[in-house]
Amino acid sequence: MGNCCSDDYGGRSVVGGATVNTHKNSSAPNNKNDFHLFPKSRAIFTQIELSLSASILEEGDALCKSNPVAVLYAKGRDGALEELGRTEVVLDQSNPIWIAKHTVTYRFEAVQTLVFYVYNVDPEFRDAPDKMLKLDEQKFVGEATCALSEIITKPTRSLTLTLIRRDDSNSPQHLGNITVSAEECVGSKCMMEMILRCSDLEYKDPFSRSDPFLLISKTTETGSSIPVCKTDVKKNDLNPTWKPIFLNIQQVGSKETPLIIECFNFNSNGRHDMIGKVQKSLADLEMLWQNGQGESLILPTLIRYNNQKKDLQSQLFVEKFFECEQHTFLDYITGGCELNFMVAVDFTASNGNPRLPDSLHYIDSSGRQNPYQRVISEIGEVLQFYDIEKRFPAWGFGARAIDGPVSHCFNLNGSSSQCEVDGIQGIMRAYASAVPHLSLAGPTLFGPVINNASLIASQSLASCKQKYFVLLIITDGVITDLQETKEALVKAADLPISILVVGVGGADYKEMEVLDADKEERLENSYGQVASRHIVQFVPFRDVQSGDVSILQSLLVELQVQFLQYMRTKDTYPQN
Amino acid sequence: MKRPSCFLEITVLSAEDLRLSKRSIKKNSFVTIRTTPQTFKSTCMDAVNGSYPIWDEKFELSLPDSVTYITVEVQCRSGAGVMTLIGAAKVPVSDFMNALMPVGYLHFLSYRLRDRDEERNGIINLSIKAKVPEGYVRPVLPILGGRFQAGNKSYGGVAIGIPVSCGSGNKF
Repeated sequence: MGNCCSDDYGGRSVVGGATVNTHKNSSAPNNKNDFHLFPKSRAIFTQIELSLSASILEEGDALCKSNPVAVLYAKGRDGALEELGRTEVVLDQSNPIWIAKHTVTYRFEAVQTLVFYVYNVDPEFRDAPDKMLKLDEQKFVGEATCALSEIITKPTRSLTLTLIRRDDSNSPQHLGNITVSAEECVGSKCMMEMILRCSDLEYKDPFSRSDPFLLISKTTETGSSIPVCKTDVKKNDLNPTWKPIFLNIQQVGSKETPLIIECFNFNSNGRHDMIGKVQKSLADLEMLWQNGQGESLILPTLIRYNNQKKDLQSQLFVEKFFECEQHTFLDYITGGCELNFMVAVDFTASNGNPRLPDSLHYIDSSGRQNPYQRVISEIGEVLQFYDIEKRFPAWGFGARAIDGPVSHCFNLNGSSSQCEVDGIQGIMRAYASAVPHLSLAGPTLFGPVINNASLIASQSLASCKQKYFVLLIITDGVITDLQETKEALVKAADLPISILVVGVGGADYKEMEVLDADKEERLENSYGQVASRHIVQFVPFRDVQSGDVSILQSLLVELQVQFLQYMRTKDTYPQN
Repeated sequence: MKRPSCFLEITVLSAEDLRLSKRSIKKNSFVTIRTTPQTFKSTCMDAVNGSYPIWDEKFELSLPDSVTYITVEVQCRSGAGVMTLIGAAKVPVSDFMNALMPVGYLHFLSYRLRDRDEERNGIINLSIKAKVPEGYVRPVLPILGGRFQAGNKSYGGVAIGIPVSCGSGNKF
């Protein structure tokens, strides 16, 4: 795939006049490009500005003050450090407040580990430019590390870490503190809503009128273009007015960044024909709106005509241009809203006998994770930061305890009353100790687990604390209670919950796509209630050992969108 | 214990994919909400959004204690002024008043519309918030265990809650 324009008619799933249009490409959820295309992508480009200060304990000679400099690194999954930037050198100061700010892109879907090194610059280098400093010639004071999400989940958005020096043979010394403060860049809150219209588009389909849509891309410094947003497809319409589109300033750069607006005729084979294009910045578009004027589309013709441009009759109009500030995901998180993680594990017989190495539940004594463990730790390690107490409900389904009946929702920790365990490690322990005590059975039912999770979510509504729940269901087979699951999901759509379903093993998951309303029609229960928003995402995760976790991360990207959609449709504002 | 009479704050948001004789409607659709045959409110006609109309109109309607569902009808006025029913939906009161969720919670609900022949026709999107008289005490809920205790907390001094017996039973 990879053709970023090949989805179905977008915008059909706009819910309830709400301003969130969620739609994604019908296949390849791991295609990163897809996330740039739809208005929902506004939720993901959040720039954060970090500022640093420290208090360094003086060592030895009290007469000689420190000249500290801090260097900020991002730590990769492989442990490698990449320098993100360094501060200026503050002279003769053991409590430096550095002025230099560092901008990092916040990615909800990943654990972004930051490492800070503090050095004391030798007086002989004190006049050297910061960038030229050779760090290995300076005196290393200490280091500190944290995850970016640890900083932004603090109500103050600042975190104080202890500086340690690890190369000492004795236990790490306390060498002072470093405080990291995070500020969300203003651009991510500033939102543009636009309604675009075209007139007199040309025929592209031989037998009918065109099915036009607009693709908006920004041009980068290198001249390449990156798609940022796309409208819905208007069927059979030569004078289309598209549904509102949303862009945030962060996505496009600035109001002056040139944007390429291309109009295509939709083709179900993915090869859309260009109808015309125009280059305008947001500021230009605002002007068009103010003056009520149209802008003629041009069509770059073939090369043999000397790259001429053909001016068209067709014009682009801006029907609405509205600039507003919106609460961002981080506003809610810093305001004290928690994401509560819940997990449910499939113990049906199709997983295979857990004592045998080919079973999906085989627990390898060498520590190599089985697919279930892998998925829990990948998703859990990201979400755990957003829950203060880190008490996670953990269930299993589709198995019986030694001589009990088959249960479709039992507590993984073996307790009869308490479903919660402590932290991700607690889930792992509960899972590992449950496996040998269960006899795997069937069928595969999701209904009971979803209903239990919904009950927890609905009970949280009575509390004054904002909470949003994330239920991770890991399964190896297709569900047999499709109708009951639909009933449960339609009800859950009204609650603060999202459900991630990850399929492991080799089953054919075609039927499961029904649940992921992004790909199919909206879910409907037996008496005609329809899910008021998307809450389920499904991905197969077959290739567990390859190390490619982008599929799981893509689930989390959309989770942020579902969260905001819930908060906005419920008129819920960040606390504090 | 009976559910007391109360007021509903209903916002008629939008509808999707409305059709008449299989063809997308062009304009002039409107919605009537009834809590009883005599108690109803209607929206204005949507003239611009075709088969995906947007009304975004808020009403307050009384809900007598005996009512178990409210009806939503979407109609369309033709050029000659004739009103035609596009579709209707029955909304069980238990969907927005049940023992699991606090009263005053803003429910965001969608329903499949069905025409006179019970054929599927489009979707209606609503938000509904119930307002129960002051001094009404929420019944005790079943407790799942753990930290998730049933909430007997009050919002701004007003006790919240509705009896378990209301409506046709919840679906959880």
